[in-house]
Formats: sequence, structure tokens, C-alpha cells
Amino acid sequence: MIGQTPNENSGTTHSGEQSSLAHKNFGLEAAQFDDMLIQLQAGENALFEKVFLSQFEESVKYLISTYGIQRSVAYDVTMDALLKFRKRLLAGKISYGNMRFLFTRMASQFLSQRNKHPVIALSENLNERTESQAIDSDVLDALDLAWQSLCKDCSSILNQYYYRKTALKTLAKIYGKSEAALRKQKQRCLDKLKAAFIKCYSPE
Amino acid sequence: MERFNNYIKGILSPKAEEEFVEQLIEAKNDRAQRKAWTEALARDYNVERDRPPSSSGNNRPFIYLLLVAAALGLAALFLWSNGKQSAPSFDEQVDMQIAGLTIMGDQSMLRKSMDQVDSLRKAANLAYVNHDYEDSNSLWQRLTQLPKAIASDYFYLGICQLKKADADPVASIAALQRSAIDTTYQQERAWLLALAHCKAGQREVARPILQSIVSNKAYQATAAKDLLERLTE
Repeated sequence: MIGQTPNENSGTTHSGEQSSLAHKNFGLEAAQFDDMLIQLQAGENALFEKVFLSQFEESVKYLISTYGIQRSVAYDVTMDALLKFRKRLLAGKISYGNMRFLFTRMASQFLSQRNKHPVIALSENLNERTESQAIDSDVLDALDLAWQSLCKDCSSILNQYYYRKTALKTLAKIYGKSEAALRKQKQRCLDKLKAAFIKCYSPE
Repeated sequence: MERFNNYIKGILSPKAEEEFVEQLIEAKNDRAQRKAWTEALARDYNVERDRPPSSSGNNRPFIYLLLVAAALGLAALFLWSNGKQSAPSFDEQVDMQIAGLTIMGDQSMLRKSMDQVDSLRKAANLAYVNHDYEDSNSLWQRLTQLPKAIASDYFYLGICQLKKADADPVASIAALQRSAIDTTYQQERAWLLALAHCKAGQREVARPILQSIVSNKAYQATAAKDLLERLTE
């Protein structure tokens, strides 16, 4: 049934091994994990959010009890891990097996990184020096403002290409253009964004 | 910040600028996503950053539970004594159900490639999953006019006709009915038809559909029961 959550009304009996494996993967069976990936690739977050937001508090509690940290810190690093986890899922770098362990470890890594560098950056790659990658919230505010001046196509192309990591070839097919034409359109969008961005941002 | 200043001045190499722009757009989207999840956690799971969820079980004194129950009882009494002024009307409830529709797009289509018709179908699906119902609607319209139109084209057109800003429930009904040859979304279609008939003011046509959904405990049976009880308002 469309929209069915993991292990809901499945009407099937699971062996102990299958249940254990599903538990290691946030209640997801392998087929449900594949569905979740397909949905994520299509920009549909519903199943991902249902699975991961429902276990968010459990992760927070684990970090608090394991590391003796404040709740707000545990919340922040769990959120950081959630963002990164989704990106790695989209990039095909996480496979079905032991997602619970991976997620917890990722959150722990963010915690140890935070303890080394007080300013938390939105960098995905924890191995990079986070301070140099930090983007000021002022800059992001200006970017949000500049973004509003983009047309729908530009906004969609830039988000698809840079955030969802959709290949140029795929984008070209979606928009019914050649790859070269789409590349030029992307560049025009970037130029527009930069011009609007410079206008919106007034560095001190 | 040095890289940012160089970006503004236009003195980054093309590769460095590309990397920096990617980082900017990622940061922008991450920030928006973080905000959305924070709101969803608080709203749907009672999880907040600075305080644990209120249902901490064993530590709550019994007297506190009694106070909460008393407060809820008073609130219910207040609402009852003030009549149903704050409850949504039937039409508002139908609109809320339409706004809350979460029927997923055709996932396999989004992975496929494609001839020209499939490209159009993919674009329609993409607009749909991005909640751009105006755009999606016009793309599905185009598809249903082609010789290679399939039942699901009509199905998604039917949804978009309901969800777009200037909803056209009559067109939605026609499209949904044409999609009926494909039984894949049979239950969802029944619910959509019920909503579309309600939206079009055809409550008596919606009645047997809602009754069937409820008696079969089908998709959205609880919501269908609510609407059924309110049909005569």
C-alpha cells in the first residue's frame, strides 16, 4: 500500500534475524530502504522523514547518556548528522545493513568535531577545517534574498544541480534541451544569482 | 571569509568559484532543511532542542496528570459552550483534506530514461513531487492529449486539478474517471473522487463513495467517516 510505514500492517511474519536486521536499520526492511532511496532521489522526503524524525529523540538521549552533554548540544549534532546522512544516502554512500550504528557514529563524530572547533560550520566533509568553510548567517540571509530574484527555472536548475546533485545530462532531458544549452542556461542563472547576491550583500 | 570576498570581487578561478557556489547553495538549503525539520520535530514528535518531551512518564507526579486532565476538561467545556464557531466548516474541511493529500509521484518514472514522451512525463512527475501543481497540471494536460497517454497521466492530472490554486473539481472528476482502467491507485482514486465531488458541491454523489471507503476500511477511511458525518451540514 502506498505510504505504508515500515513494518506497518505488513501482514507477514518475520524471522528473528529479519527483525534484528530491520531494527539495525530503523525498522526498515531492505525493500523499504530501496523505496526510500528512490523517493529521496525524486525529491520526496516523506518516508525518510517519517523514519528518521521518529528516532531523533532516541539519538539525542543516547548522546546525552553516553557523553554527558547538554540536550541542546545533542540536538544540534543529531541534526547535523541527519543532514549529512541524507546527503550520503543520496550519493549512494550508505547501504542497507547497519544504518543505526552509522548514524550514531556520525553524530558522535560531529560532537567530537564540535568540541575541537567551537564554531560549527555546515560543511559536509568533517575532515576539512570547518572554520574556513563556515558561511556567515548574514551571507545566507543575503543569498536567500538574492534567490528570490531568480526565475522558477533558474531556482530549480541550480537546486537540482548543486543540492540534489542531478547530472547535467539528466537535467537537459527534463528541460528538453541539449546538454550544451543547459550548461549555458545554468551559467546564466549563476551570473544572475551572483549579480543579485552582490546587490543584496553589503559587507561591513 | 576570504573565499567569499574573492567570490564577490570575481577573482576566484572558475573551478574555485564553482566549488564555492556549490557550498553556498548547499548551506542555504541545509539551513532551510534544518528549520523545516526543527518545526516538524516540535509539531509532530514533541521534540524540542532545549527541553525534553513532556511525556517523561515515571517522574510526573499523579497530581500533575490530574491538573492536565482538569485543564483539558475546562478547555473542552469552553469550546462546547461557545458552540462550533472555531471548528472548520465542511467546505474548509474538504479543502484541508485536499491540501493534505500526499499521494506520491511515479517513482519508477523518475528513474527511467526516456524518449520525448517519457521526458515530458518525468518533468510532470518532478514538478508534482516539488509541489508545483500549476506546472505539473499543464504538463499532465499535454500528456493526456498525446496518443501515448496512459491511465496514470489522467490520475495525476486529476490530483493537480484539485490541488492547484484555482482548483477545477469538475475537470478533476473527469480525469480521475478516465484513469479508472488502471486499478493501481483504486483506493486513492476513490478518496480523490469523493473530495472532488464535495468540492464541486455534489455531496450526494460523494456520499456512496465515502460510505464505501468507510465500510471497506480503505485508504483515508477515518477522514472519510468525518466527512460523511458532516455531509448534511
